[in-house]
Amino acid sequence: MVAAGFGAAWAIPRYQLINPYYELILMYVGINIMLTVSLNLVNGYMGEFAVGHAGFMAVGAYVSSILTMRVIPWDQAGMWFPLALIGGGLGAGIVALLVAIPSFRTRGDYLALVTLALNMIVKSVIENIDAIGGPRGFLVMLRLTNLPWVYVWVVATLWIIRNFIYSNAGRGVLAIREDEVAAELVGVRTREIKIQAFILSAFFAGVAGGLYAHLLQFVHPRNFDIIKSTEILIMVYLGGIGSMMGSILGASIFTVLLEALRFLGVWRMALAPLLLVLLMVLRPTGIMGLKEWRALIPVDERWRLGRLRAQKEGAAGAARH
Amino acid sequence: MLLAIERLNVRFGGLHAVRDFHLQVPRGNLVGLIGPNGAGKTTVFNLITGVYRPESGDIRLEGESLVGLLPSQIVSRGVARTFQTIRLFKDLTVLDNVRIAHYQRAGYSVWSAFLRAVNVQRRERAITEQSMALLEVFGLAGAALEPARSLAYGAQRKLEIARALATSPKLLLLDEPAAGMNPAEVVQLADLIQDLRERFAVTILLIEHQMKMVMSICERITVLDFGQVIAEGTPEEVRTNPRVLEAYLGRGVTLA
Repeated sequence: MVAAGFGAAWAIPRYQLINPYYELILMYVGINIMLTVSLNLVNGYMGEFAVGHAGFMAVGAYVSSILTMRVIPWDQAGMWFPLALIGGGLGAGIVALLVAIPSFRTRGDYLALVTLALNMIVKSVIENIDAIGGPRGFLVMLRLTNLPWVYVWVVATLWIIRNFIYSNAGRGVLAIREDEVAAELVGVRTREIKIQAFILSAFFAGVAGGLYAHLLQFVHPRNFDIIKSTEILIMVYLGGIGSMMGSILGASIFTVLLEALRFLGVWRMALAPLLLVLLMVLRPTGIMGLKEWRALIPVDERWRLGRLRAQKEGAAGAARH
Repeated sequence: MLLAIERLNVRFGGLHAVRDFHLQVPRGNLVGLIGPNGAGKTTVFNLITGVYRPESGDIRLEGESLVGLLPSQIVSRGVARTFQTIRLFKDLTVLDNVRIAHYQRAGYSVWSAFLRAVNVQRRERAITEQSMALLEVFGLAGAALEPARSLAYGAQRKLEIARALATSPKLLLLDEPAAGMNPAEVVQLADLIQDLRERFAVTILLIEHQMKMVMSICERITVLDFGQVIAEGTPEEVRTNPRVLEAYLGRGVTLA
């Protein structure tokens, strides 16, 4: 299925199977899935409340753009593009580490404030560095992002975050959400886990930012303001916390809806907050609400749980006879 | 001596919650810690497990001090506990509650987890099998895939003990495991605790209000009142100690 998806992602631009505008929207959907799943790791699975995801996206966008525009020779930029994206992700990861060390000493609202501040700081730092265009923005001449690359990165993001969640560390993440004190008292090194999850989340936001920059070919500090962060939050809560399938749905629905409602003009912007309010009232757990699509669970784990379920049903059946 | 506590003090504002507390728990013993409500028993547990840091005094496990370590580090030294008010991971499955407690012994790095390498899959299988075996001991295997919140009260208490044992402790701290149980369940629990002690070769320190249970299963008992040790000894010695009777019931009464 993953391979078939790649085949489609490769064939669509190659043979112009769909309208380039729809192709562009598909790429936005992919980038937004990366942003949503990565934020869901911290806000949904771990139960913290980070609100400045666009800040990490900005770091990734600018770092990778500087790499492709200024560091890597022009004629080789295409070849080194994946490394430039990873560079952007690592940049975001380093910023996340700097934020995580002080923020995770205490719990709760503190992280929301720190990430909000970080988002603003990143934006104003960029605005004040003239070498990368400052408030005028930064021209990325190369349109290196294409549908196959977006697809590969979406799959990589889902795969790695999934593997993390269904591992020892991921169980620690869930335990922190449920009861942090109890988690620590059954041996979970909560501080370490929180920092790991936060960096992983920022890394993929950074990569997504890099893809975004090389798709737009022009990055501007305003692209990464609080409004962008809010949109990512809405996609997380629309799809449902603690569910990767939820994030895929949330990102897809929100992105397509926002495009479809372009005719509303400025009023379109009222949609996001309205959606959030409706969501909180009608379905606070989002579309998926902690449920996961089976196919997104690692095969060995799925198989193990399936066998346990079968054993139990077998035992129940035997008891009836 | 598995656990040795000396001259332990902690104050919360003006309240001297634990005053010059001392306790010796020999390996393999089942020791009771009793006292009226608010005597500081749970505070002692919180000090041992690193939730609070003592002002002075020392807590040593197998001769090594635990003071100043993080709770998770103390778990890795071999101390596990349950809670007076149940603190399960309620929305997670019964199985995951126990699997989480294998955290320190997972045996693979986060990097191999990213790739879900073969060793990760192998370890995950082992962790799941060990967890199921443990749940079997507590009669909870049938509910392994149910959320912990769906268990009956007594079963939740058992799951907490199972989760604590999953960390493979040398010392198990049980904080009022019989709270909220009916008399029949209390009898079962007493049997279970004695059984666990042998099966898992674990030393147990027990806080409990059910006097009958404490008196029948503990080898030694320490009595705490207003943060101070007021008596210690065998159940028989404690039962007849006038200071204990006074602390519990007031002057001039005898305990059944």
